[in-house]
Amino acid sequence: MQAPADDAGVRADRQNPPVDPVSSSQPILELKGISKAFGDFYANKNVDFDLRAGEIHCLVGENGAGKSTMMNMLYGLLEPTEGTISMDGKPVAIHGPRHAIDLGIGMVHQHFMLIPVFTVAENIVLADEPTQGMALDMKSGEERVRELSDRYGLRVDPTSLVRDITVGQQQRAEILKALFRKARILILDEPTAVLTPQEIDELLKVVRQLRDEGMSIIMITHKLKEVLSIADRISVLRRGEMVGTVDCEGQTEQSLARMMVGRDVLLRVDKGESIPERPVLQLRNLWVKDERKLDAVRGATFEVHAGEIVALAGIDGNGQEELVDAIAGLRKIEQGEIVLDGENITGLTPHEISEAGLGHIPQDRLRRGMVVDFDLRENAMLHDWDKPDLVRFGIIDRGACADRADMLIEMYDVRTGGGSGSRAGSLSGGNQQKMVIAREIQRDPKLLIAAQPTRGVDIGAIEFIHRRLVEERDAGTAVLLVSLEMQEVLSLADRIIVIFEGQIVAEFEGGRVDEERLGLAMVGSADAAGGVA
Amino acid sequence: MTRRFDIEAIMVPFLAVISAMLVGMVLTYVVTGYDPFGAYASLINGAIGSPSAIGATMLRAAPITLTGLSVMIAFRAGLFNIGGNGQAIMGLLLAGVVGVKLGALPGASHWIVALCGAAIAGGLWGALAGFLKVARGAHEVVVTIMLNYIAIRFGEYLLGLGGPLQEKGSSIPASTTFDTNAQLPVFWRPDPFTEVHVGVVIALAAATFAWFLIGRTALGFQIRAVGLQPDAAEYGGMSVTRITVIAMFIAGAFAGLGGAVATLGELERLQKSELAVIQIGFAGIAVALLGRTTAFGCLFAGLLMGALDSGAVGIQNDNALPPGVATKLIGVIQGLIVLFVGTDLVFRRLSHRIVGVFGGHGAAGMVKS
Repeated sequence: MQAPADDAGVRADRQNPPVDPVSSSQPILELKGISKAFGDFYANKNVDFDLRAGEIHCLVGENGAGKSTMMNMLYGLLEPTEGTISMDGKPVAIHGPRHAIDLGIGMVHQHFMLIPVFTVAENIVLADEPTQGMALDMKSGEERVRELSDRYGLRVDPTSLVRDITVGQQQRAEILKALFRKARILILDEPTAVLTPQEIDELLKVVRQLRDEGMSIIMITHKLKEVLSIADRISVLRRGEMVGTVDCEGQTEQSLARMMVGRDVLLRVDKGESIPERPVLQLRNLWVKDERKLDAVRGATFEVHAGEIVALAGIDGNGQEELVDAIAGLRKIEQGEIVLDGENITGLTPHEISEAGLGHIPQDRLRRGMVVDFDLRENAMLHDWDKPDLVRFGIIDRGACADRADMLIEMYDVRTGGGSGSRAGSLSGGNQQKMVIAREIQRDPKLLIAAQPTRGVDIGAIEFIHRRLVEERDAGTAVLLVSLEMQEVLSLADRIIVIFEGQIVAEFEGGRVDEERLGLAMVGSADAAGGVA
Repeated sequence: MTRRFDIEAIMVPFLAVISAMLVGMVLTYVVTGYDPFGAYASLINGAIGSPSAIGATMLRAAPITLTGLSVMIAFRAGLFNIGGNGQAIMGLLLAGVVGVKLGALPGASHWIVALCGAAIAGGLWGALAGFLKVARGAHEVVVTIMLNYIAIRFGEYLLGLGGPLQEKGSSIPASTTFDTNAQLPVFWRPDPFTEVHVGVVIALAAATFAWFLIGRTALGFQIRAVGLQPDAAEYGGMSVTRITVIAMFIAGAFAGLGGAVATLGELERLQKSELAVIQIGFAGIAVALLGRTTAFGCLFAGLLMGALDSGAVGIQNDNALPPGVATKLIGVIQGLIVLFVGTDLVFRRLSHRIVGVFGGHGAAGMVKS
């Protein structure tokens, strides 16, 4: 791994030998009194933080607590308004990502920054390509990627195109990219949000191994279980301020949650018995294909009644997405029928189905749920561009739209930078999700589909969202919850149906099934299948 | 709906124009050796130096503002309309048909009918490209380019010797002259040779209409949603198919109007030889780009491009540059403007991508989290 000669100067400071984790008492990275202001708003205020060599330091906090702002300053994307950043005891000003990389800081973002039509190796060597004379030497690039991948157990084929590999593999490619650039400090921004349970286990294993090799790791996450299982130390941010840094030893989910939101949090959902009424959603032998024209949903039949929460549980990629899309009219139905409150909605347009009483919190809020470049007023009327109370003679009543958006923001405590005129994309993930949920619930649907409603959302917002879903149920709405989180399924659902390879393989009554049996059903194990508990 | 005042949106085109003018100035001196200040004085004089110069600028601005709006509307729906030329030709052909064949229409109704017909003809030509995209998946760039050629050939057939529109008994491949009622009424004559017609008012009205349509109506809302995020638009119950066709119809209608305004306002008859040299559709792309794909941006960009065109005439009239050089110089300046505006977008995308490669978020938009 020799560096091209012309670049050697820059590289020298990257090739410092890894600091011995035991003997070093000095933090490898230190933030002192860091503040970041956007106008009057402080995203970070007087934050102190330190990272020791060879530790896993988890950074937790609600959405909007200032975690990403802090990391963006470390990565040179934002400049601190006040305070100093030091590396190895020396103050540094980080001018940009390139500089951060030269300093040995690598970052893996929540949304990957890979070029889909390039191979894994091409993505990794990008901007640092191995050359022979003028020619690109991909062979040696691939070789070096393979070495790194073997050394750290980051299994991924360097010659595959990025678009052909799984999300988990893409993430490994991102980590390899940082390793390839000789990062000593690795920042992982919500690395588990997009992964399946198995991939999460594997990732955590890799992260531990990286630490054991001397890497210093900052990991941002919402999932307290993961934090407790992997962290050496934990820092908690709340509303831009550092609440404290604690050793992982002796912490519990409750104690962390209390630090995060500043009060006790209900981790279990408080809800009464459900009183199911008439069937609102009826699926009969539904068949749906996926993008590759393969059967994704294969003969699904089930009902959701008014006043109950039915959870559709399953490992990601077993047809949940296609099933939800088909109900919403966003995907063609090959066979079977869907009845919504007595009305056959098979083959109707999304608009007609939404008029028939569907509220839909989509799985992917950035792709489907909102137009990122629209402001909140426009997003509040995304379905309602033909409603007489907002649009008359084809002309939008801007006052009425603003009023509606303001009402949603107020009722759902959506935190914005500039009120209803804020661009949706400027909100944090949790607040975007609150806005989507607010819009869908305010439409007073008969059936509410909540597809992974708490994905990438902080714990305070999760509690809020869960409470809203239960309230909707109690108000007589039929709720179909699609979730990959077993904990969420178990705590919310009145009834659980399990989907595996496009088929409904099991049904349980909520509260009368344990994690193990549900887990077995989700992986298609015959033992659990078919059993109604 | 309310956008913050974006200084950058105005600064970039402004800087592009200034830089292009400066480069043009240097080129004038280095290449021709003539006094660039004198040439530029003539340019400015020819563009805005007198009432008739202003009138000429407005006349040149009107058609390209309309085709600029055409490109803008399509762009907002996520479509790249290269077919402004073809749509303009279909529009002017229909306007010509109305102008020479329906001699009996009384008074102002004649040119109004002609313009409406032009808008519909251009609109249908645009909608055809939209339809082929949604029905067959044909890319609109390829389709509109091909439709441009079809429109030219169709016009050449109509106006060619023995063609249905060609003047009977004449040996010139051209139509008979337009009925006087079909020609656009003139409302201002700064001098005997400069006749400012209602086409200027139509362009102004069209820009206002486009602004209102895009920003204030449910249809504009849908067009923008489809253009920005088709998946979200579909989720919002909009028909991406329908909106694509409608947006291309509106885009085509603007271009068709542009063609008709250029024809009924400036010419006495349709000529076969004119068809292949019509460039207002392509000028519209430059106008829309410089105007940052906003309605009033197109209006200002159209005026600027029009001013440069009439400035070229000013240079020629003053003999400030050798014959033939003036129009070339203006062409170079216009090209540079587009280049600079375009490279700005390229630069921004490039810097975005560079940040992306090294793993950066769009930092500017992140207020919280």
